[in-house]
Amino acid sequence: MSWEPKIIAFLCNWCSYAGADLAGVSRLRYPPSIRVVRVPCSSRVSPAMILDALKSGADGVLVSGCHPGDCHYLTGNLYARRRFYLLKKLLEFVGLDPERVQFAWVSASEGDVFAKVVTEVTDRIKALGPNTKFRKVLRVEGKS
Amino acid sequence: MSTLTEKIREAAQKVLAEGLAEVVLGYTQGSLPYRNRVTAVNTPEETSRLIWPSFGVLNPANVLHKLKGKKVALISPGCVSRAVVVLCQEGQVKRDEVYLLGVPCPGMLDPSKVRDLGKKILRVEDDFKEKVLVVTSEGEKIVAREELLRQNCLECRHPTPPVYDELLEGEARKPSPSPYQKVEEIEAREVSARWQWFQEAVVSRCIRCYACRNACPLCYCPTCFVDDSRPQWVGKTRDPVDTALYHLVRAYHLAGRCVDCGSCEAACPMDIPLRLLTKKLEKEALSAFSFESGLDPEAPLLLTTFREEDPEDFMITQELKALGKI
Ligand code: SF4
Ligand code: SF4
Ligand code: SF4
Ligand code: FES
Repeated sequence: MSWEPKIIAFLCNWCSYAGADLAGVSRLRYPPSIRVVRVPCSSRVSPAMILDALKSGADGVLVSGCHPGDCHYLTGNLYARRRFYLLKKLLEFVGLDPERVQFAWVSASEGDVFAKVVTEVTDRIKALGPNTKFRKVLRVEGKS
Repeated sequence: MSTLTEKIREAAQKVLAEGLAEVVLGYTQGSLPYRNRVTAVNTPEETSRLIWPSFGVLNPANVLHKLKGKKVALISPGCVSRAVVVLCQEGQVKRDEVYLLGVPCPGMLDPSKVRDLGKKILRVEDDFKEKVLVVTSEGEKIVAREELLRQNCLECRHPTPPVYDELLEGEARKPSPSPYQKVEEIEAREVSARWQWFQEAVVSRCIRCYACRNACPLCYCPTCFVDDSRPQWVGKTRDPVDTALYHLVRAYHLAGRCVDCGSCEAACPMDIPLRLLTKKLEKEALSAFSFESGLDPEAPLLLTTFREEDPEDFMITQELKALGKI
């Protein structure tokens, strides 16, 4: 069996979660790589949550919210966009493979976009292989 | 012409005598020639202890919260004034509760650069312009100031305080023409070399004493995320992943807030080049959002505002769209 990455997908309740649902009811095919965490808004996702997912063993993280202008809370996604931009730059800077953390806009009507995004993200993370850099394994001090 | 120290004493005396503030936060000589202290002075007589420091490496704005309820004057080079501005923007301090005694800053020296000049350092004489005379147990040395300056002073964009109530006379350093050179050196490396740098220079050496956090004037959360236990973001051991997570989130929490005062680095017992992480975020905030911290107490903070046209080409959906895939 080929290795399937584990990707934590933080999906905003109002758009991307519904988009994922639509992909499901439309019977669109995409890799079984994601584990969905439903969040009220993309701006609910903090950098610590993203890093914690990686630390806990995820191979990648996808955060997806409503398109600009569509956020249920009007502008949550626009605040989030700034934060994610900075986080991505910081992760790149310290040499954490930038492809492991991805951000997307997917609306409730874009089931097909959701399926394509998951397929693409999965392919990219597959190419990188398992997350070994930022995964916490229990160690005994002094031994590796 | 009087020295900066004389001007500071005179101005501090006036501030206390006229009741413009109840306390003056400034610097005094420390126990070693290359150590200066942050000190609170309460009476006009005590102002004679104040100095303009060569080694004022800890930011006095860090102790403002201990003086809550009092009107405090701060001896403020650029980075101190800017830290106070950020505290005002964040509602931690009211602008009219502080009196900023601005100093056009000639930059400060790095204690570790001076310490390395001899077995025992007996005396340091700084002209605050070009030269420093260092008297060691082996003899005297005259060193160019530029060689002894702290890295953050070499990279400082605002030696003259952008906000003040009174500005002392004097000549400030010129704003750095290449503030991001060190950051760019890291950026130019391959992904794996950058990871190696992060591990070797930062993560593996850090003992997680949190001195960097405690020294920072802008790390004031009553409960820091590292002390949360449910969820526990950071484990209690020196696991490298936990340490890396600490450094990433610490730097990130300072995005658009850090004023590059260098306190964190000065406090670090392991000489970790911590500022590179915050400096990287400073660089991104400037280039992507034309934002600089601590310039205007009325302005919004970097992350409490946005622009419609903020960059989004880093997002996978925008990338796929550009490729015609969606
Ligand atoms: S960072 Fe700038 S303002 Fe602060 S001490 Fe150095 S030169 Fe002065
Ligand atoms: S002060 Fe230095 S050693 Fe201590 S936690 Fe900060 S980086 Fe680590
Ligand atoms: S992170 Fe360091 S340089 Fe930035 S404000 Fe805090 S102590 Fe100063
Ligand atoms: S509600 Fe969907 S991003 Fe804010």
